[in-house]
Amino acid sequence: MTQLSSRSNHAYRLHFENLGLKSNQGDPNWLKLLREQSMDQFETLGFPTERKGNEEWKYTDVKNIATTNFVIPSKPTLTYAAEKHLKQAGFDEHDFHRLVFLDGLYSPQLSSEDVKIKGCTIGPLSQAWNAPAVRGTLGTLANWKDHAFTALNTAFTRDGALIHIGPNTKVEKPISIIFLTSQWEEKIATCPRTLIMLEKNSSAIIMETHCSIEETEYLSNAVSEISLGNNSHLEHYRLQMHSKDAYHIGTTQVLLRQTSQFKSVSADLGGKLIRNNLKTEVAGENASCILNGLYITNGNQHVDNHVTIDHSQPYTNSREHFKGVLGDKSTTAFQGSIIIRKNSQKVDSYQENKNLLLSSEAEANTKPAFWIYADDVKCGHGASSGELNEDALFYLLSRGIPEKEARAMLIKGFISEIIASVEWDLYKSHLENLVEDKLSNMCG
Amino acid sequence: MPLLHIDNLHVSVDGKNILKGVNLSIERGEVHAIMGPNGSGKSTLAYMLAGKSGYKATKGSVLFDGQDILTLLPEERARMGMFLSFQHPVEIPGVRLDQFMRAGFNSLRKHRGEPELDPLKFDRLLKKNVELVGLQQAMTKRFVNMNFSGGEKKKSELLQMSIMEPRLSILDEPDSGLDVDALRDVANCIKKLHTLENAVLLVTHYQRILNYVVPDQVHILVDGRVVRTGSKDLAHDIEANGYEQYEQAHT
Repeated sequence: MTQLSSRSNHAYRLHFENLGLKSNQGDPNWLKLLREQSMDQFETLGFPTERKGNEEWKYTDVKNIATTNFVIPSKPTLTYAAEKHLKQAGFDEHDFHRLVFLDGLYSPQLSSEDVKIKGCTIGPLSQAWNAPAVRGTLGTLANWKDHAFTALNTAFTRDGALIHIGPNTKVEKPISIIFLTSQWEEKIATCPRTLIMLEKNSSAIIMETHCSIEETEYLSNAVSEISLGNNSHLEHYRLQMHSKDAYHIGTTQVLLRQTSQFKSVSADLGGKLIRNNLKTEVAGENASCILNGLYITNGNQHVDNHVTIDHSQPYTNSREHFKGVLGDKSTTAFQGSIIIRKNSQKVDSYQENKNLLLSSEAEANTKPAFWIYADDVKCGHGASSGELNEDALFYLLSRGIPEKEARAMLIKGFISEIIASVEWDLYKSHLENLVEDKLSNMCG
Repeated sequence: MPLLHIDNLHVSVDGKNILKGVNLSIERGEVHAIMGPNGSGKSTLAYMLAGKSGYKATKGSVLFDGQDILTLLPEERARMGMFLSFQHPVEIPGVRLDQFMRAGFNSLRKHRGEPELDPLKFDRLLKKNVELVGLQQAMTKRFVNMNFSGGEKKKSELLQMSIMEPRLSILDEPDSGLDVDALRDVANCIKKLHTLENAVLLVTHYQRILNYVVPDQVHILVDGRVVRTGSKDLAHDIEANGYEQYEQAHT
């Protein structure tokens, strides 16, 4: 990794010192040590740039992030705007548990009342530093030793969402984690952090939303660690609807144990430059993951989904299905890596990426990569990029449907299977509305 | 005034002249059949009338209900009461047949100044019509033409026709690829939908469907021209002797 030595690295060190992240009296020593090591590691690694030898970041240039002096705010102020924004988001909070983080820090005022489920902890990390499971897991899944953004997030871990579901527990209501960036005069950086642990035989629906109150320029550098015990089942939704001037680097690291299931549906609608790292290790026999994703881009937006599935055990399955709709001069990348290790026989894996280009200036990149070391496996992939089907359009027009509506129908049809894979009905219809809004802006 | 009047129509596609002077006049209540060998321009005529992009009229005129339609968009022609049943209806993933039909149906109603039908009311309307064409209601919840059998595709086209209630239906080979039973069903359905108020222009390669849907006139299209117009007997003549006589006479 090339190092872009810059003033901003130094600036992060200053923020680190000023926030007292290695000296805070109230924080446990292990945490302070983890932060300090991460800070050191971030400085050693430096921001990844697209220079040669940096294949992982081939499609995404983080130069603007590296050269901007983002400020890490000490404490956000709760504003009426935040409440209003959440209200407008249109969720009825009785139907789910809501954890709201303002600039990365827990906001009890904006969150639902304390969730009390036997054997479970659902709340802010900052109130659970001493829990053995937190200490034993935080920072062990997400690789801060090799990845600068993860190191930076870990160095600035002050709070975050903790969802720890005890064994044999089915959480009935979905849990919605909302990371909201508030309004600042400076350009700020936030480090949203999430730790999800499902013990054996438990299940939950968890959603992560990343958004902002105003259309400001900021960096959201998020890390989620997800640990799934034997025979547990997690539905995970990630909704990214940042400001149009925002940068977002998100890393989600998932560990699946025996017969566990992980299904993720991601939707990237907002932001200026977005990079998602979704890494799953399918590390138990008969474990399976389904990773679905949707991105709709316009203007100069850039969205890069970097998805890695590591089949480290035999008899494991994975399905990846990412679809994009690109307008204007927007660019996207889908980099899908599948690793099947030497002893991982009978793995069944399929990856697909399809893009619909609404403009001749938009650019979709697909880069599949397979490292297969076992010989008795099924592994396939498919990719396509193309414009709207003219014959299909004519078919709709010939039935009297106005062109704008016909185009919208075809585009929505193209992405419908991703949205349909959301099992939480409330979110599904919310997502349909958000997609509708975005497309109506794009189709004129 | 005829419902459709085509006068000396020349059409080119990708710079290639396909239709070279077609004349045709259809009155309300009539059924006309267009027959011809492969490549004679039958489907081109159907697409041209429906307004497909890339089909260019280089000469001649097409009047629908007295109005020149050549400059109109396909959706405008549909709203005037023209309907094309496709020979090969396109599959559209993610778009449900009922939602697609409701969108078309409502755009026609909107054009006529009538209130749109909500999904519930439209469903009721659909129920009546799916029985008429011999489909199942559940079929309309599937994506448009996706994994439909050949017969189901043809019936789905007729279902759309029954919902849209067009004044002119252009049926492009509604009989192709059907077995005897499906052909009879499709033909009977066309007969049911044909009234004294509307007209049918039936494009076909074979005479057999005309045993059920009896045409008022049969036009033989060869190399982009109508080389012969006659009664239904003309179709029997084709069945017995083939198109060769016309092709030879023409060249």
